[in-house]
Amino acid sequence: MPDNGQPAPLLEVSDLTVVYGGAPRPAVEGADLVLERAGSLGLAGESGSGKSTLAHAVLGLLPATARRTGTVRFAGAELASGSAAYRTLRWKRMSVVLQDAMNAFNPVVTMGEQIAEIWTTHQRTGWREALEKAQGLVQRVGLESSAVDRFPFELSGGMRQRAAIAMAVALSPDLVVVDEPTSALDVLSANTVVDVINAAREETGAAFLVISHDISVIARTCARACVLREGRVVEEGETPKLLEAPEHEVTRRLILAIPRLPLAETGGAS
Amino acid sequence: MIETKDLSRVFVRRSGLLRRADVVRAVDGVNLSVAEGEVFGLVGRSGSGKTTLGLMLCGALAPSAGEVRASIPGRAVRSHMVFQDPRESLNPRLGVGEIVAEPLRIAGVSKAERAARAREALGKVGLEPDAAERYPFELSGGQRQRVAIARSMIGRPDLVVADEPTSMLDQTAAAEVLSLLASLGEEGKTAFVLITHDLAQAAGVCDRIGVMDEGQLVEIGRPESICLDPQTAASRALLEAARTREAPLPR
Repeated sequence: MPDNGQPAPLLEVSDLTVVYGGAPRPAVEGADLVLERAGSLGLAGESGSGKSTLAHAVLGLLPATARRTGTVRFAGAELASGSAAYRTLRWKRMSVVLQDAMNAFNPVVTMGEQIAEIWTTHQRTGWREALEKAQGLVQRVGLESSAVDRFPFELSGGMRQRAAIAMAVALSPDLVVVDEPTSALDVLSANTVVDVINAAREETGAAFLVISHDISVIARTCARACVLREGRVVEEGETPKLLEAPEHEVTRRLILAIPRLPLAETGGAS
Repeated sequence: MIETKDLSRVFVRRSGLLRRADVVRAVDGVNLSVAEGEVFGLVGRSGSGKTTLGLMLCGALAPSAGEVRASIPGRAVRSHMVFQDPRESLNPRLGVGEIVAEPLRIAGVSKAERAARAREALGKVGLEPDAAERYPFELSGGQRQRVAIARSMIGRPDLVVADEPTSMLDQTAAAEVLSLLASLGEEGKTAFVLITHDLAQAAGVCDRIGVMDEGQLVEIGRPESICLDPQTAASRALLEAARTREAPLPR
């Protein structure tokens, strides 16, 4: 609880450990994170480093076989694993964007109808008004209003991901968790999604927790970043500083793994 | 060594109540030659026709018009593919050794020779020889893709087409798989066609790059010339995307 008159950070994770049933070692071990209101925090790491587990623990989406210790505080209030409080928080106060939006949408319902459900379910808005809101929402992320009449498979991966981000911020949540938002996309669509994330954050004032194995995505969306390895946070700091002077070898490896264009001076060294 | 002449592929899609035919020219008159041992990058955004061209280069898809041929007349092109998702492209019920040696089994090579060559092939892609006894589910994504590459090389084909071989991998594993492809291209006679949407990725490992846009090969050149002096809007768009991505990273 705050003791100096300052409000509590939006999200505070302390000494979080997650062990999946039967696993020899924890997926996340002793992790600490702080995300301020309207802030942006990236979780970078290689496959299997524990970043998605950490995000799922924050969202209360761990499977029943997982054992969680340590604390997750949201706006100062502790959230126990499997807590009923999550039911009232999800969508209204915290929302999530998953890696491939194709899996997040119902394939046999038009985009407009499934977007409209946000308001009919959470705010008891009438169907007609909700459909109109859906149209406005897709336009805000640069899609044509006719996108509401389409089925998910009729949109490109980048368009689906933009719609997913629009839906995540529709009810002005305090926290949006974005899990590998660009890894199913080509470079051009990925850049558009990065722009949409930044615009959504600026417009809504929501805090963003962005998970990616691609440190260039975190570099462009987050003011602060954590690097995970084998379930532990090995480096944490302001993103530009972390990129400029990485201290841990994993951070250096993540930076070097991004393919670079040939330099003009040397004509092709990289 | 491998040439295409006016290679084209048309898909006809029927949609709507009247089943009106919608003609998509996925590949439209491509002329391309890839030399022995060359690593050629086929770059373009989603839907530009890269995969359709790659499938035709491998003989996995029949062209609507034009042809793929070996430069030496009368000789068939022997080719193999490496697919995007190494989880789907490896039989989960076979051991890694059997998976890698399958092209040899089909060619009628003896069991003892298959086992020996599988171990050799696994070594070439940087896996331990005892990987032969393991199963795909025991391997990481990057290791699985190495297995797929070992399988593609074992019959010493003329051409290996790798279609987005890194897009299911994290960036670290992707960088390792790419440098493996580049070194395999350097040492052998097999030509590689690397299909990717990422110009910077292709520029790092390819001898030449071809840029595809709406089914056509709009620009071919050395990586430096395409990255430093692009001639087409498609190349400029890919270049700009790669620049935007690397902008916040230190050189």
